[in-house]
Amino acid sequence: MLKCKQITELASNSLDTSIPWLKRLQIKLHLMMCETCYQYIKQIKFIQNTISGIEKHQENIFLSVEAKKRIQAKLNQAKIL
Amino acid sequence: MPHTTQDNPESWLDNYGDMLYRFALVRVRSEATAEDLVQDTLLAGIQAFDKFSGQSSVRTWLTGILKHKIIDHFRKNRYDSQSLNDSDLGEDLLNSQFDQQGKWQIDLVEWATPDCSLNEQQFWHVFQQCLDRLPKKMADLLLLRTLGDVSSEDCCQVLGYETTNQLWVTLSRTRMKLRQCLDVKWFETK
Ligand SMILES: [Zn+2]
Repeated sequence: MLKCKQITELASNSLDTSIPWLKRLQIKLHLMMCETCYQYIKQIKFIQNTISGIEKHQENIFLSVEAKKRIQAKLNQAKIL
Repeated sequence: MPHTTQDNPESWLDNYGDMLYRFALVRVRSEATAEDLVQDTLLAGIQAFDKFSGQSSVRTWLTGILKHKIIDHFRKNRYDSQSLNDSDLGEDLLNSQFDQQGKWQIDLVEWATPDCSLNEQQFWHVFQQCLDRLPKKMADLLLLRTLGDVSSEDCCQVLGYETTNQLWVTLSRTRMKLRQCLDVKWFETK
């Protein structure tokens, strides 16, 4: 029987890579009996979604005028344009 | 190849500069580095433009170049000199959360309306703070893996890891520490 500590690690692994079906089943069965692991996994999945949403959240960030000037100068300097 | 205005390298900085900058900034978390990467990407793109097949959009093609530049950046700044110690990996936190048998000895309270938090500016501020509190390489790793551009092999190489197993363990500990930080700094205050 896998303990909570191992379940939390396995659940994290399953977010990064595919894990064997038997382990997935073990997680599922464990979650039916363990509210704390259930909450933990819900929370790390929320973190996962939050990170995936960072880019969308930062849509209002732009290169500064100065930065654009610096880049443009470099591009010109490279005499490519 | 017919060139539309969008294809014209002279307009790339205006058309794609901001998009490339945001893409880089999320991943490298430094404005100066992100700016350098945009510049290198545009230079490389201009030099290689005759090899551009037109099968993808210029936008996708430039983003592909940037992804390589980002991995190169992390590879150049390899972390092997400072390997993660037990405290980095949250051994203390692990031991306070679980008993000897590996069962929870703390209670996890359900996070109230987490999805609503995403609409709050203050939440993102706290989230960034919690990321910044992590050892840099752990935060970098979590971002790169979760945003999905870097293979596990590349991650291992950058981190100096021999096996992917070390990678999965590190990511698990990173999430554990981040969860703890958000719990204390955000959800418990709600
Ligand atoms: Zn459990």
